[in-house]
Amino acid sequence: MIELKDIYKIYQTGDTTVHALDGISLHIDDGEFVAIVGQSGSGKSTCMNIIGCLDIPTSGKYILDGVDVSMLSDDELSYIRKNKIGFIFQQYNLIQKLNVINNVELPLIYKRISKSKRLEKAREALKRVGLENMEHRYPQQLSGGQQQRVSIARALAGKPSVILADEPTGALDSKTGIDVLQLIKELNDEGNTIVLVTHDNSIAMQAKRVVRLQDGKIIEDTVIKES
Amino acid sequence: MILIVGLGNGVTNKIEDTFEEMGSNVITAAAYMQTSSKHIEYDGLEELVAQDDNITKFSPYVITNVNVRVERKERTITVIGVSSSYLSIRNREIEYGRNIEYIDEKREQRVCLIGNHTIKKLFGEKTPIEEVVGKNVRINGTLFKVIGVLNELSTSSFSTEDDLFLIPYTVAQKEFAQKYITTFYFSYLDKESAKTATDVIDKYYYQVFKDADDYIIVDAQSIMDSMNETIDTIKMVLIAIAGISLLVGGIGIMNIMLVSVTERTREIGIRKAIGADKRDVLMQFIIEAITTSGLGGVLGILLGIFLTNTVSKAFEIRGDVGIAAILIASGISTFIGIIFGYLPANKAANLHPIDALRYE
Repeated sequence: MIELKDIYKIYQTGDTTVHALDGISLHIDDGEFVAIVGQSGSGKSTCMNIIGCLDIPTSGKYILDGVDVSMLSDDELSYIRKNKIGFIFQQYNLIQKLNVINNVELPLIYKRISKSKRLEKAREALKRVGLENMEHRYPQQLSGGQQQRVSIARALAGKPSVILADEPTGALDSKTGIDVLQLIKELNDEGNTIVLVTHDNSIAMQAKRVVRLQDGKIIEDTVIKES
Repeated sequence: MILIVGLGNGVTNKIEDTFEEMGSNVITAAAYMQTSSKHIEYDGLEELVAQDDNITKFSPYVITNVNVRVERKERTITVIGVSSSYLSIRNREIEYGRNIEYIDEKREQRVCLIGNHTIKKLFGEKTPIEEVVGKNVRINGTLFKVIGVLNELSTSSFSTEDDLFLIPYTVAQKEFAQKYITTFYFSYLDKESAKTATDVIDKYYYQVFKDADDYIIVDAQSIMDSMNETIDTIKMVLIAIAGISLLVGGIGIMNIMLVSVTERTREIGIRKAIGADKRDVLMQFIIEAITTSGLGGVLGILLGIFLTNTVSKAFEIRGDVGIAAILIASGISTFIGIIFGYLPANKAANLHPIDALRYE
């Protein structure tokens, strides 16, 4: 469960102050599929970074699964990330010199899970995204869609509370994009909480709830489909 | 660095060997010009040596190169006239037969000791040394009886110490028409007495010649000491050079680590985003630094040992790398690797994951 209460993120560059997030309050329940949409500069990326514990708000409270994470230290945020958050990035962000299975098991290494368990979970996640026979390939040997699937498997492997997808289809052609989006939808059907960030309305409409940001404020919060 | 230290030790060993061969506890005294009024008498030195406790033994040294004939073989060989003390002064031994004795000197017996190499030259490669003793050789036309064979020094095949005849000095003086003995060898008690012994001999010679330019007295120990001093200086310079190269190597490692951290900022961002904490990132880079510099260290040591051995063989020196050089060199290279691996890694680990992720 994600609870944002009156979140501000203010950047100070020289004399100008930018309110990237200007008093955001948002509640996301377990199992929801929320799309955060907005133009570039609307604050959607900042919002995602804060939800993903990559960044901390200037003020306001962020409660994730009952824990206030808004003022945690760097290492404490790492701890939250590895246990609660799974990331899917636009650029996949796989580590090029590691093969597929090693990429997927990476978050499990940081969770100090034993080798045999790690491999088991990583294989399970790969199977879920349909790449079970590509374990030993390297990222550059895969297509964009396959790489994004690997990154989805990596996000899944740690069984996070929430999967954050930042423009997951942005780097893919439309056909592959649809496939990846379909996979994300299925993951939600299986009970995963998904927060998808995009600038593309048609993609946002695939989610069950749309939160529209503009100039750091929520201007729309619509439930499209009951879950 | 390994190579330099190894070769440095090799050169020192070589020089020490050479001196060992010469007999390091030896003083040599040589007079340039002797006349009937100014010359060194054997009896006078005998008295001097008997009186002074620092000097233990002495021997004349009358050296010439003459033709030596055995049956049909004839060669030019070094023949040295010595006293019975010569072998013990020079740390030599009789391998078979007997030494020249006092009685041989007094009675001017035409007897000789033969070097191991000389046997091969004159009697043939495979002649047993036992067979040579008792044979006659014709030195400078005169028949000499071989009474003993010298032990083989064998440190190098071309050593002149293994290719010679020793005969009683009295016989040598007569045979080679040397009225006065030019050179004497002295042995002394121990290292401490070297200086006093040299002084005593010098004083005696000065009394005879009244001019220090007429003779020369050389103490092998003092030569060796000053040689060693020079070698130590050379070694220090070499180590300094090695140190500088180590420093340069260290800067190289530092740059590699810095570049690799900069290049991999994005990777660090990814790792942090999926849950790595500072310690995870640091450990990764430190382990990489250790393996990089450690592997380099091992390769360097192997290469150093290999080159030292190769060069040693080529120059016939006893190269010796020494465990200290290995430990210091690999220790420093690993240390540099860790330090310069740690510092930039620490910087990277402290980066905010979003900044690191955005890094292009």
